[in-house]
Amino acid sequence: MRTEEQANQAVEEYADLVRRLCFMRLKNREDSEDVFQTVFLKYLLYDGTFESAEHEKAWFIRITINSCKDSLRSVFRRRTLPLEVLSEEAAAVPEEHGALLEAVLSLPDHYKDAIYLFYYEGYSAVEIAEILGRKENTVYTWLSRGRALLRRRLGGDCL
Amino acid sequence: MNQLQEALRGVAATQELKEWTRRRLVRERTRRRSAGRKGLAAAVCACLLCLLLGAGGYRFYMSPVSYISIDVNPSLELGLNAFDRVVQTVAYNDGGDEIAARLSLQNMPYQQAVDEVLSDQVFQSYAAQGNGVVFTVVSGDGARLQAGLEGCSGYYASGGHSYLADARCLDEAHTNGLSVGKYRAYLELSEYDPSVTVDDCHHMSMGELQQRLEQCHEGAQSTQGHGHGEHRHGHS
Repeated sequence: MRTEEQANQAVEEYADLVRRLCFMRLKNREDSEDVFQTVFLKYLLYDGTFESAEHEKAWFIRITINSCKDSLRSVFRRRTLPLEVLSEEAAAVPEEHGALLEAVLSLPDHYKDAIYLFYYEGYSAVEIAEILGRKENTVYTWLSRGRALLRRRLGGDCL
Repeated sequence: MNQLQEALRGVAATQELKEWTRRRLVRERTRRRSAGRKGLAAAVCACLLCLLLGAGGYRFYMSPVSYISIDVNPSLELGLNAFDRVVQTVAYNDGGDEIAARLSLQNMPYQQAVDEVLSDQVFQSYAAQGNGVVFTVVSGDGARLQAGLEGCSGYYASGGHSYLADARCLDEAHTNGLSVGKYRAYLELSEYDPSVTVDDCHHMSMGELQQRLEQCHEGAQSTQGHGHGEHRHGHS
């Protein structure tokens, strides 16, 4: 189990990253906050060591995405969300970027993850493949299909 | 700064959420440490009692209390005792039989056992054809085991995904002759497509099941994304 200091440092370091990944994947604040805490709880319980800060960051990305998937599945099994709460999270976004965000959030999850990691976090396709445990070609396909869907919806160079 | 970075600039964790999380981590740490101390004391007492009881101790040690199902196409289920050591290895298909016969996992700590499976040549040849290895955990302390699995050295390279399931799912899986991992995937798929039967799943590899699930998720998402205001089908 990690020390309190390590856990606090991780919250400080990765809170925004985890929050943004939850925002990209989940549709309401309650689930988002649940997953946020679950991720740091998993960190607290994780006994392994990280070779570098990059390795640690990749671990957080992977764990957050997996925890979001778990949350969506349990939400799907437990209860149906009313449609009006689906866009609750999107209210945090400035109006001028509403269309872009709406288009990105409507992408299938794999495309969304790849687009976010590439354009926001600045990872290369090779690095994304490593983080997500997928083949490089698969990531290239996700990126190109994601871009095509965004172009179709928003037109031009939307990113 | 690109447009996506601009758009997401305002999405950040609030101080309140960070503080709330820190407090929960402190509580969890304290709870687990005190449970650990109590657990240690209980374990010592249990061991003494077991020594006294002899055969009872052996039974206690050999009783699985948690399960990890490893599915790619071979399906293997590891039963773990109260000390997180493998006390049971059950194969659910020919591929699983082959791997179980090659490896000796008995009494191994579960992370070491999982690494043994993931690094086995035969398993890797199956994994290379599949859609990533699926781990399914059934335990009273599933989050801890999940975190441990994610720390296994081969986890990321194998494209691992981990899920939690409950004891009821485990019982139903065994009644139907499936590993709990495959049965959980069947339950999820049957919510999208009620025509799928357990028998169909016996004939499908885990990769095929995962692929169908991904198609269903993407289908459900695109239905939602097109804004027709429809609920995903299969809600119970």
